[in-house]
Amino acid sequence: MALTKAGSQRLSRAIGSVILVVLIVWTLAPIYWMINTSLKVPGEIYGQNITMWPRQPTLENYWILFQQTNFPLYLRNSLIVACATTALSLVFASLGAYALSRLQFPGRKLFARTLVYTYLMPESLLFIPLLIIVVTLGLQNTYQGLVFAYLGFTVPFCTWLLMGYFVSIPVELEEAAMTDGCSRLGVLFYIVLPLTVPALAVVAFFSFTLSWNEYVYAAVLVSDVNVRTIPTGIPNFIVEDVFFWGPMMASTVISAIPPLVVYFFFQRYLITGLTLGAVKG
Amino acid sequence: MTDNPGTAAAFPYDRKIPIWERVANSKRALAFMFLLPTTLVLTCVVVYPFMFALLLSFQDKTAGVPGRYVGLANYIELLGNPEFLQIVYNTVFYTVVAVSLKFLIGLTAALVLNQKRRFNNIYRTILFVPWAVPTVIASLTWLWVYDEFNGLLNVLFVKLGLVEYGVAWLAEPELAMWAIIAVVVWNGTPFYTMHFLAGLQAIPKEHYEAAEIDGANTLHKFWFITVPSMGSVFAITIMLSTVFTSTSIVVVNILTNGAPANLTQILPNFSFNLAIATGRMGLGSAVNMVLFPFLVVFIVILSGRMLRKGGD
Amino acid sequence: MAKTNITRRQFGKLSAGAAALGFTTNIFVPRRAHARDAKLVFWLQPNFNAKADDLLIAQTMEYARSKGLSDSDVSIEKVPGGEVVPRMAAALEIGAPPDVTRVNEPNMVNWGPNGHLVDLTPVIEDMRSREDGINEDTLLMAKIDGEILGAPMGIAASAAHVRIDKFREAGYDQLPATWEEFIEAAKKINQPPFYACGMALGLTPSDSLVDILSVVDAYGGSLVDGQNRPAFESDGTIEAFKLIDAMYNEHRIIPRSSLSWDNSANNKAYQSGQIAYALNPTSIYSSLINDQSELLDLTVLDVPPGGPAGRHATVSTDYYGVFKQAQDVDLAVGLVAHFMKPENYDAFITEAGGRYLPVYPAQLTQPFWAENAAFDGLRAAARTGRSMFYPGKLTPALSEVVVRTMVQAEVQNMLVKGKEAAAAVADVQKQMIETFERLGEPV
Repeated sequence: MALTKAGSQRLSRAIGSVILVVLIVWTLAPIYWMINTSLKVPGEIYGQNITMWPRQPTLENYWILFQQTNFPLYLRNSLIVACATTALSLVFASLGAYALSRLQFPGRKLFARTLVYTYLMPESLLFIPLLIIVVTLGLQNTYQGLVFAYLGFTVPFCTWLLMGYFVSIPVELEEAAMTDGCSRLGVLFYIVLPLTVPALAVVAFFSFTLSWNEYVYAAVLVSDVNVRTIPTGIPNFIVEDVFFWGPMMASTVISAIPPLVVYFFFQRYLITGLTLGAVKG
Repeated sequence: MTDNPGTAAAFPYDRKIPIWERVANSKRALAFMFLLPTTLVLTCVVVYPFMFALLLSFQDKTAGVPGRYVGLANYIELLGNPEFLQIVYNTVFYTVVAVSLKFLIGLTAALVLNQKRRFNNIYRTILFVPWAVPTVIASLTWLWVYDEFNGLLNVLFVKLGLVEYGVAWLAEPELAMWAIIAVVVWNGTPFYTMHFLAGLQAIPKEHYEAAEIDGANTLHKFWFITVPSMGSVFAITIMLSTVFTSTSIVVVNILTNGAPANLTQILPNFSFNLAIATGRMGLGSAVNMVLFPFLVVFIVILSGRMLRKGGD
Repeated sequence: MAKTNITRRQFGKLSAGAAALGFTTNIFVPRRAHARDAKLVFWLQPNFNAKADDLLIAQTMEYARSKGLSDSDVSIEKVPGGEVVPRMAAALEIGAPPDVTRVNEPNMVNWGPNGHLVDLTPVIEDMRSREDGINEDTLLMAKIDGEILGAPMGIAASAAHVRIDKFREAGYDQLPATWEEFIEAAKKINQPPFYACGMALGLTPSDSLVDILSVVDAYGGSLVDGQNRPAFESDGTIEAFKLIDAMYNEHRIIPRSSLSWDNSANNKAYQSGQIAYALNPTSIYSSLINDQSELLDLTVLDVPPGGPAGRHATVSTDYYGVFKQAQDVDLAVGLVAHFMKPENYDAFITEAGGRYLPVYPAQLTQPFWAENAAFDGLRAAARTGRSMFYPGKLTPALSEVVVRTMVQAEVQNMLVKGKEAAAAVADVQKQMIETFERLGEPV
């Protein structure tokens, strides 16, 4: 006895909901622990009886974070760097992805693959030669230097993400536009990009989050507190072998908020309906 | 715009096309211009450091002191190291398992989030959270979660009566690698989820409707429409994620640093410990180069189909 | 297909856009001054409490002003301990290390022989002029090629932190003097999840090596001999390894997770009241004070248990070092001399609250040290204390052995993979010899 279409839909929705609950619990459990710890006094963090919710909740850790450390400064810097990196990544990657997916030229495949090869070298090894370059260009301790380094990190993969979407746009659309006198750049801007808004959203989220969370380069290329970003503040909570868990978790909780806000407000772009209806008819 | 060479000089075709117009209209020149910013950034930020690291692997070098070339000595030393094979095996196991799990969970999550539901945007934001947390922090948090005495996991297990007292998740030989993989999967799944979600959105509803008319059920629709349409999305995500996963040092560094008995040691950590902690930059670089050929082949295979589609 | 024409207008728009992007970025993102513009650069590695750090900052500024420098000529960077090694590696590569920073023994081994540090003998002479002089043992590591490359600024002793209440319950009124007695007591105290012995066995350099070597030392083993040749393989060492195996696998008095502990884990375990014994620098004790923990009164500092070969604690020395590439070497050396002036130094040591023992013996007679009962154990530890590498000293090869956690790795092979103690010890010896030979040191 086969399920009706409606029945089958309801079943898959129900299964989906169960899975969703499981996923949410699994995702949030460590976060709950982070928040929990950030609200505890040190005595309770190390307490002999571990509490699922602080018995003496305190905002002391957050207070310490904002009063005694450079956290607010780091927050500002992280915002500047992340926004700049995201904007530039979008531009560079769109141009690059279009060239690699639509324009024929010698070395196209090699160039595309080389973009990925750039990731085979982990930043834990690259940071020294990178520092040499950045210092040579006089960009040490500047926002530009950091953004520059991060672009090397985000652009290859943003380009690849966009390439994947660009190739799925039918060429006919672009050809039609070009016959009407549109330039390549115009095609990119007016036809291709609007159709790949979800991909652009993904690229933007990833660039933002990557530069928001990146630690190695930020620690090495920038030592000036006025330019430092949030992740570099974390080791300040670790002195020799003492971890100051309370303020550390507080800083995590706060620094997770901007990417989430960005995501929450812009995720509707991830779900556009104006995809390929343009092709029909 | 007609194409009639027979007519007289008054037509626009006879005018001399200025250089910049010729350049702008040539596909190669255009490609060059479009790729210029990317190329500039990458040359400085990646190509040079890359060459530096490659050359390093053939040198014997400590920081601050000029290196001297020793040919293949570093590689030979690696092959002679009994732990090396164990580390390579660990890396492969860890990468394959982590990527597979991230793929499965990410796809499931994307499918679920694609269904119509109220508050979908809240659920999506929640599932994005692990990615919003820097890996360093995620690792430190999970360090606490796994704690033998006060960790969330053990507290729960003891309260539920599953164990008498805390389990050492990160130190028991059978559990340690899985504990590491769990953290990597937790931190990295949103990458897949988001990407797949965007890809799912790009599949036109008409395809599904047409299939339903032909009598396809949910499974059919998934297998014959969703999966093929997501082909390049899958390929690209897996390719990039494999590279990122297999070169990331943070999780292992913070959670176990290779314990117990090198059962969780992976190549990038080995490389970092040698190059930076011990100061043997040449050897550390050589370790890194080992995975290279395999990853390159992997990248070529996965990118092959996608790159063929592109270009005019 | 007809050729497309890109019009002048579109081209112009594109260039204008690119230019605008370039300019706007510049307007909103001002350039910052390079740290190297400063005349005096001090990398401050934070101590356990902020007050000690603030004191150092104040002393630095005081010195700078006395030399006629303005505040902006001085750059004090807080560099967390974990960042020092990678950042220094990068800084040395680009030729821009700081002027002054704290140098621990492994750092000294890395930076000293390579010619990066300045000879500080004049400063040492000044220090010696204080009544009772300085603790000459502290100079051991800094004497390289006839020069003294660091001014000793503190003696860090690893003390056994002991839950005396638990031991009293088992019938012992102090920490047992030998490991064998300790195991007997531990068996009575042990009750998972409460473990008697918080011995660190992880693959992170530092705590775990100190723990393992304290047992090895008790049975007469050592890493190197008096001529600095690898000497790990010995009956004493094998005996010690067997004991550790028994403690972990047979008697189970060591927490299972110890194999994955980093340097903070034994702190965490002790402060959570889950272990009765932890061998650690006094950071645990400081934390107990800072957190006003109820365990403070139940804790006693002591020397770790010994064995047939004696009972010793581990001490190491930290130094202030000056880099040759400093902009103004004399200025930098002066800063170190300023730090080491008795009144400045005493204030710092007191503020650091037990983190360091003073390098001036005269200071030990001061009330802070003489009248604090808890520090009795610490002072005893310092008196019997020797370097981890006794009877040799730290060298580049030995430093590599330490950083690559060769000893810990073999201990773990023994504990987890069932390797024979003798084989594990032999393998450590083999790896040590390989390393020493490669670096041209005598074997």
